Amino acid sequence: MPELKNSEIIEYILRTLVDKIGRRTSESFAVVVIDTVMKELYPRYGFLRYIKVENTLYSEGMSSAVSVMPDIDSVEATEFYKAINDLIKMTVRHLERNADFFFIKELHEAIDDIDGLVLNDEKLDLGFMQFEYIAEKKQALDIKNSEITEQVIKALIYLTNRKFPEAEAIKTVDAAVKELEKNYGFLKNIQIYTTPDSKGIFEIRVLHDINRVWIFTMGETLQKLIEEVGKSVTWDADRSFIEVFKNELGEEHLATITKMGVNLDQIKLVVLQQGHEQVVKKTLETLVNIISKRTSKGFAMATVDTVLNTLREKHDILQYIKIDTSRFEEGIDAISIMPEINNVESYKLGKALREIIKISGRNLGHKTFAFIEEFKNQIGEKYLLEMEKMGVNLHFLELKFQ
Amino acid sequence: MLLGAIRKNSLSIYKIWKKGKKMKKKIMVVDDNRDIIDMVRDGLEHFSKGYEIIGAGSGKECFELLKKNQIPDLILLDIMMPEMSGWDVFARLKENPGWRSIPVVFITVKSDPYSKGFGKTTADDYIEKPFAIMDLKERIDKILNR
Repeated sequence: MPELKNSEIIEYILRTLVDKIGRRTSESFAVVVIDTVMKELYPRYGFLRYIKVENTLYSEGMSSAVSVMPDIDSVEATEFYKAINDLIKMTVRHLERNADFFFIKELHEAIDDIDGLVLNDEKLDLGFMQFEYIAEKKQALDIKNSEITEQVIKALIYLTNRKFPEAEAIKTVDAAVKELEKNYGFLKNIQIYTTPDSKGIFEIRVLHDINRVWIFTMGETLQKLIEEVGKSVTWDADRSFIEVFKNELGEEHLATITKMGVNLDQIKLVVLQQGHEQVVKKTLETLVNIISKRTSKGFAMATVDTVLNTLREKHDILQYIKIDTSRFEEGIDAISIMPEINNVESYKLGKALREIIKISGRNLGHKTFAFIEEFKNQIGEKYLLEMEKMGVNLHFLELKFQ
Repeated sequence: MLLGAIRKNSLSIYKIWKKGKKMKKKIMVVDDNRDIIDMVRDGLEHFSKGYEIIGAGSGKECFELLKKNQIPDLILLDIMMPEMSGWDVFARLKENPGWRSIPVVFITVKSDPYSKGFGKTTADDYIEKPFAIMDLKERIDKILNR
């Protein structure tokens, strides 16, 4: 079999690269990546100028994306293969997250499948390149779950402490860990120690068993933890929760959690959109708890439904709170809050919440004061502060009833 | 002629009687104490023939009657009953679209401010036992004439 010319070899390789990258991203992105790499390599390998990779996919199809001038055939083999080595390595680096452990392997197999293309293993050994890549990745991922988890928890406590007193901040983060433990049992390895008189001093202990968890699973869990803590606090849209978190965590740890697959931008979106929803949910949940303690869960739900219906005409925003009246017995699960409520102006929501509480307790006579006190204790300081920011002054309501 | 007048009168009396019968308001009393059911029946019927009392000795019996299409115009509901409390009966009534609009009045010995307060907010009325039958009648009529 006649040996392939340089122009043929590079054309096959480039087309295979475009194909493999295209499958992971898009073909136009693939062309842009390869074109960028080629331009970076021009100063070292001038002959690469004989190759044109153009983004003409939409107009002329794949075949016209790579064109190689025959001048490249005269390039000496060692220099030619060195360029291909660098081209593939740099392409993988440019792809960053889009190149997984299998990218080079797949490329290798695809090139092997091309009839007549026999690569010189001594000059271009893709098997070795794959080995090198995995070793490099593994080193980069030499992360101890226990250490990074401790740092993330610390950052979350400090972050929450910017909004609430220390004890409340610790309680918030601890509650989020406990909540997630239901689905991620290995979180039992996390213990946050604090004593009532600790004045905010806490100790986090993350047991080493957690290091057995695959780092990407740990990454997913940390993502949910950050999200959970973020959701339990209302953050002003203009003062990003994530920016403050990044500062608290520090660049080095930030880079680590990014490697673990934590996507802070995604969390930012989720968190900023959940504030009002959480406050409404907690308010209704607290009312249902207080009423059901004296009556029954189903009756408490019927009461909240009656109160909401009384106010629906006056407060448009209550259209975003739905109660499935055929499921009163299921309690708070029968209430659904539409995400549109997050776009409502805070003071409007505050007014509605204040009236919901007022009407719920209006027939309690001399016990109204005690009812509001109980509500305040049950909902907790964190949510009370959120409600205060919305203009709900329960103290004023208490005075009015007294 | 005389016979014709008698016939005409009889027809009018029958029409009035039939109309009266039609307009009878069905009141379902749900209470595990049968004496209360009897007392309400005797009391309301003493004042007016416009009521028809249906008795149910428990929440379960109440739902059995409702399922048999014995739909009342109003329910007088005791709270402290064995098996299913009045609170639960109320919630189940409101869960069902066919029964949701039936007015419910709690009749109970529970006089604590919480039961009374939440009961008043959610139900159509809340009457503490013992009650005067005249007072009960007035409150029932008020709801039925709304």
